[in-house]
Amino acid sequence: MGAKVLTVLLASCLSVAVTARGQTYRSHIAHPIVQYKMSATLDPLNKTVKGHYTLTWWNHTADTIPDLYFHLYLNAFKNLDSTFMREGTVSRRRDLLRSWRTMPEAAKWGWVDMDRIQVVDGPDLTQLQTFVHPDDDNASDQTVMRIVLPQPIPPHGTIRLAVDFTSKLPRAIARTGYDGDYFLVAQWFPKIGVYEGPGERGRKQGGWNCHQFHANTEFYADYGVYDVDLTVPADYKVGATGLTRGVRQNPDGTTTYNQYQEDVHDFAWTASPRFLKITRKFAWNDEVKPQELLHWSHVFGLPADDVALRDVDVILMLQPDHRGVEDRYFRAVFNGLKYFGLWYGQYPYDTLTVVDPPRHSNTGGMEYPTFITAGSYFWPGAHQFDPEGVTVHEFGHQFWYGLVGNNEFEEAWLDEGFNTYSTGKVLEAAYGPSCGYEEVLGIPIPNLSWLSVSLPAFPFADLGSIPIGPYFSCVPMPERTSGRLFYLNHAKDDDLVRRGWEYVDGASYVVNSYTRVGLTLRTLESYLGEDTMARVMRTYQQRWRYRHPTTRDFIDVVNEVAGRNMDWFFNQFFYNSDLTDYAVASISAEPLGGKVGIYDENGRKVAHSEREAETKSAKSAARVYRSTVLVKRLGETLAPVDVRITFDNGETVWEQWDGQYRWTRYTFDKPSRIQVAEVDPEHKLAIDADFNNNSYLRDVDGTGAAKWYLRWIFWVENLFFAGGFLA
Amino acid sequence: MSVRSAIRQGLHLAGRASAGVWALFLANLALAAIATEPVYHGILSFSGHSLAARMLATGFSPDWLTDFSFNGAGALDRYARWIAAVGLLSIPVDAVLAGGVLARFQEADRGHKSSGYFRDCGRYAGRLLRLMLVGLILYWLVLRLLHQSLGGIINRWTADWLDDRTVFAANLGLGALVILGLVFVNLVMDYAQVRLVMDDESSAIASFLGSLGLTLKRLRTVFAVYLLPSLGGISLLLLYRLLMPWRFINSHTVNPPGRGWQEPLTLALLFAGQQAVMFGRFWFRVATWASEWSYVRAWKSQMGR
Repeated sequence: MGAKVLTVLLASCLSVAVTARGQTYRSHIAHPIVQYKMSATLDPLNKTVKGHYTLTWWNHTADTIPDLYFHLYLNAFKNLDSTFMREGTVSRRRDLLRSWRTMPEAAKWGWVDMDRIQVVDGPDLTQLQTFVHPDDDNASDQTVMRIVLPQPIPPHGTIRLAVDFTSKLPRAIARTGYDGDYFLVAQWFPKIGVYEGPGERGRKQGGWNCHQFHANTEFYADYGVYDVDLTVPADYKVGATGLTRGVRQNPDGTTTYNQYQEDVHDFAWTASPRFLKITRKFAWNDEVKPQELLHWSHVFGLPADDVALRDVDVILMLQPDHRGVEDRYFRAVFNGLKYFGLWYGQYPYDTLTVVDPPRHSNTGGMEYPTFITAGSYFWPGAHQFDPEGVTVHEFGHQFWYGLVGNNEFEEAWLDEGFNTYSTGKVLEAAYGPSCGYEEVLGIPIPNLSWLSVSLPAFPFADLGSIPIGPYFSCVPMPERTSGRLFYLNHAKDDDLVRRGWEYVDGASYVVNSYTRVGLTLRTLESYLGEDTMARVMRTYQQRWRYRHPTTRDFIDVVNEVAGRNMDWFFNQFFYNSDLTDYAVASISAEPLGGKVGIYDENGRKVAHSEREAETKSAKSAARVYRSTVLVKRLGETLAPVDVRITFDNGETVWEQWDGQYRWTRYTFDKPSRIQVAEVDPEHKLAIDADFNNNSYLRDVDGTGAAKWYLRWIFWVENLFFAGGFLA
Repeated sequence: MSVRSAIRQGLHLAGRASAGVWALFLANLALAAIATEPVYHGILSFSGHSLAARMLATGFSPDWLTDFSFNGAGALDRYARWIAAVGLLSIPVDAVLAGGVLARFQEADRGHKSSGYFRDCGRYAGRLLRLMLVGLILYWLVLRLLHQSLGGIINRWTADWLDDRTVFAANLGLGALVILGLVFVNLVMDYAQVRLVMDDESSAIASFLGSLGLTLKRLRTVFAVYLLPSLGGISLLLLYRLLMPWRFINSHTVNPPGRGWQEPLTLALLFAGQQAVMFGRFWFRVATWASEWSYVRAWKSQMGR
């Protein structure tokens, strides 16, 4: 008895409720569709998570729903026959799993089992589970599970389910799993799909939207409440979605963290004994200058209070060997909170957790609500945007994916593309352009190389190639056209608006979800003007927060805010795979020397020679030249473009061309000869396939080529000099 | 003989071997000009009529490189292959030219006029080319054993390490080891070239073995004699990096009205500056050989050989 009392007392002493900070977030959703009350325990030895939850799911539609669909994402990593693994164009991940040959099979694969599912105070549904394959005929895929209910869910009815599950985590792959004692637990629990009613996201009939896990797709879920108890060994540090409401030390040497968050559509967490867990406050009053607030208040036509931000606790889960980048991580997040907040509306949640994953863990660069994974190196270059680029990008997903919850399976560009555009804008505003880098023996060297020379196998066994380039210093890399070469190389692979798993390969998915969209939105911004574009983006964000928009919804916002129909733009740049290329094909300038040939003068035929005309023209003080410009549309997309013509005397003429037909010609009779003609001189068409041909000089200018020739000679002389040591 | 004496005598010898310096310098310049000529024509034909030409005269733009890469499909790869091919050719050329340079030292030693630079090149060409093959095999062995094999082991060993600082240290250590291995081979081959000409009738293998023996016996001294003049050449590159006035050059490669001479003069000065650096690097290269020559000669007389 005495021992029992002592144990209870001891447990009470150890059970310290620590509230990191009281919740200040107020829900924006009157009736959440999902409410998870969950508990989960990590077994680090067996790499498993045993969990239980009670899910309260609300049928928000007028449909009677006969069944339930669940995502079992972890089953994508169960074997090589899942759809995720079979989609072999991204064989990299298959190769990764196969490369872990020395690992026991049980250690490297992952899966999730729904051990029990039961309607609370109702029937047990466990035996009714069936795997379905809505996207393909792969009977081996187990990433979507369906249960036909004994009793359908009535319109606007609620069902409460009690679920026990076991998740075996894979050796970290595709941003989930474990690496040593590090765990990134994501896509880890049986997660109910999205039921879309008639009219939602353009649906004619209601139905479940619950796609299989594909190699090139991410996620889609409904907003709701997550109240999760996470139990881990006491020496493990935990970071997770939401606010830590309490920490309890358990008598068995474990610790339980209670995490809580409303108005989110997923829950992820990380645990490792190695983490340095560092918290800093984003104090918005210190970060945003009053004039910045006034500026954006003016741009949006909103009171300053409506543009104001809020304080946020930023929690960094840092690798111990990355102390050197701690400040850079926080600065990147703060810049994200500031600029995304000012432009699109404040980040509404109380916390943001940033995970700095260990090397080679395949878990960097991923977003979950209020929780992101970034990634860095212990010694990144000063202007390498590492970790800034990935941190700002993943933070940006809190807005594009988190707050505006598009369907990432079907319209990935609505978050990845928007975020590429937004990330570039934030990096520009906060840091200016980054530099190109080469690594020499792991040391980051600012450099931009034009090309690499492959070294022959003999005598350079496996040394690879050496970069040949003009610079060993920072070459500013413009954010506006970031990734343009990658886009151009894959531009014709697919149309942009396409379901994630239907792109021809992973590169096309990346181009059409990220790069091309970033370039296209920059182009749209050029056409609308920066302020109008800012209003478009803010309106779209605010209108669709906590909802699931489609491409059409965005276009409608553009048309509304711009006050003009921009459907032509989206038809050109989103719904096809055409290239854009406007060029000045040629220019010429001829003196108008007067008459040449036979003319009827005073009733007789008079001959005027060319020489006579030239002599006359040369002597004339009012000499006139006929300058001609031929502008061509070499690409297939159609867009209105400006044309600027500059004459020798400095005079400039602007023309506008609708860009519809294949070519247009401009002719000018002026006292000065044309010097240069430019089409789209401001490069509004960021997506143009060739800026070089946007201008045409009357006279060849060889200085640039000569200068670079000299530099190349010098560079190659030094290269050959070094090669001479082999002699 | 002390390191200082060897280098002092070497610098003196190098001063008398200017023909060799010029030959190496001009051959290298010609090969580099040939290797990069397609780049010049590529840029000129792609951008000669574009405003990009003016941008290239004063700076550089990654967007332009994107245009060049995408719209001149395969051009960069072709340039790379061509540069690599000419680069491979330059290795035996340098081997042959080395014979002429080293024969200048022979001439100074024996006090008689040699039979002419290029004739001397031809005289030692066969043996120097064979020595070059020995060297290439040794370089390959170093890279194969250290870079490829040991590097592979380190990669496998560190694959699951979570801490990238220690992995970096391991790879940096490996890199240092590879560089030391390459320097050691280069050291031995350099002295072997010297011995091949000095001993006149010595075979490539005998020269190599003789050099290896000397290097192993007198590593510290031999290395110092090799390293110090070499550092002179490297310091020239650093000076170039620090002193070349790119801001001035970039602002003067566009002709303002009425100053048509500015642009060609600036380019001429740029070229002259670059080639002065290269000439200096070759001079120090020859000085390295000369210092090695002086040291080996003194060592041989000391040994009574």
